[in-house]
Amino acid sequence: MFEKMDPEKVIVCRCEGITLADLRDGIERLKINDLEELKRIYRCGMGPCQGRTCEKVIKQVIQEFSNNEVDIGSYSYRPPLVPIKFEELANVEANDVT
Amino acid sequence: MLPKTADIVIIGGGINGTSLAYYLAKKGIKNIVILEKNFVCSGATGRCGAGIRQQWGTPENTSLAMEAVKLFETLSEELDWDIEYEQCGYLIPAFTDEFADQFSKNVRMQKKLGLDVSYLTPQEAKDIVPDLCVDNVRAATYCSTDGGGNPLLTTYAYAHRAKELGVKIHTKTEVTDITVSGGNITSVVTDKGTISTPMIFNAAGGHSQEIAAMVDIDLPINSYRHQILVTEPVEHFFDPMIISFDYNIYFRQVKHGSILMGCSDTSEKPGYDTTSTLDFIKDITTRSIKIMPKLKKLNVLRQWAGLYNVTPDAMPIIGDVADVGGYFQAVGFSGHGYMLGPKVATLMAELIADGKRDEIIDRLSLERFKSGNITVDSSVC
Repeated sequence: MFEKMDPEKVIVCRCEGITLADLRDGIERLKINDLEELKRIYRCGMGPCQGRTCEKVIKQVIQEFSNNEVDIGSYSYRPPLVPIKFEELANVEANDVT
Repeated sequence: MLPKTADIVIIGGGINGTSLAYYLAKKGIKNIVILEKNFVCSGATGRCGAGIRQQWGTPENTSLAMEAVKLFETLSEELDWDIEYEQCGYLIPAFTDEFADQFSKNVRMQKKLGLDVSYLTPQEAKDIVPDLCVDNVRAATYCSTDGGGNPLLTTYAYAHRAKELGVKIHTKTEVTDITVSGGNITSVVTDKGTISTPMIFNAAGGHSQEIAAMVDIDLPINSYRHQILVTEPVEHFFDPMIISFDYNIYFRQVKHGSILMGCSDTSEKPGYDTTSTLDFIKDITTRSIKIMPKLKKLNVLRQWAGLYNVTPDAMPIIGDVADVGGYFQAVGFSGHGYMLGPKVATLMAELIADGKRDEIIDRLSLERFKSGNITVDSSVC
């Protein structure tokens, strides 16, 4: 489904502005088809949404442009679940957090 | 499919393993295999604080780091890949007289080695970072040629160029045993099969002591969890990496705009746990705001943890060993493997490929712990 799209114009990770062209570069030129590895090179999934918006799309892209059956993997989700300001975290007592 | 034989098997796909593979391949060594239990840069390198500094407390660390900086200055060009290296400086404020005294000694030693480093007044420190709170600062040191890079891009660049030179990288392949016969390495056993090889290179980062134990080498090393957070990207507002040994913290605004911030927890027990804790994020945000109040409005995007592979003197253990032929290592970087790894790799490639032994290899060999006469680098956090 992505084959006919202009790779420069398709944004696959909107937080970091990563295009389909970026991902295809990683998959086709660097021969990398692991989600976590592509994240480390192109930053897809590193923005404020932490990959929750883009993970499915990126997995589809990897599937489409990788020749073999691949083990794409998943993002490792890290705390905090949503962005939190320093001033909200500082001096927080563990008991206050449920 | 794993190859049946190799001329050298490198264990670990982080900065040490990939850079050594690249420099060995460049020297014409064939049949190089990297074994990585997860994926390239999945361990300590990919989780590190990304700084590259020369302001250390021992001459060994300082001179090695000065050589490393020379290498980093041309590395993007060499690898034809922008590794986001920048010489944005390191500013190290002292909040107590004790550290102010130690820093003046450090600066004297560093200057003797030829490092362009300055001992600053609080106001001079504030001139460099206007948002720094200097109310309790006694003095500071600053080196403008320190800086940082992107450890992920650096490692992937080395891995990619190594592959182009014929290096085989096998990920998701875990080393389970190493066989030795007549005092020499003969093979590496993995969960995907066995490779016959006369040489191995231990570049296993946070798990180096487990690999060494497979050949009955007892490394004086422990691994400790080290936690880091990253903020949302914001407009650039300060240049240098700021470290405080008083507050046990370091942070830098990287090229992308986000701020990377980490610290060691001195109450951490040795182990391999890399889960994130609420205590960390609570403590580090509290402490960092005291040093730079402006940070309080920033959002934390994520936190993670990696392993510091720590030696008794906070300096790496590199080179070969007396008892096991064909065993080489670059381990125990004590939290500074990214910045020293590439330089150490060039020295190790010279040792392995050319038999040329730089004097620093002897000074940083495992043998040094036998005498019990070691000098500890205390400029670590």
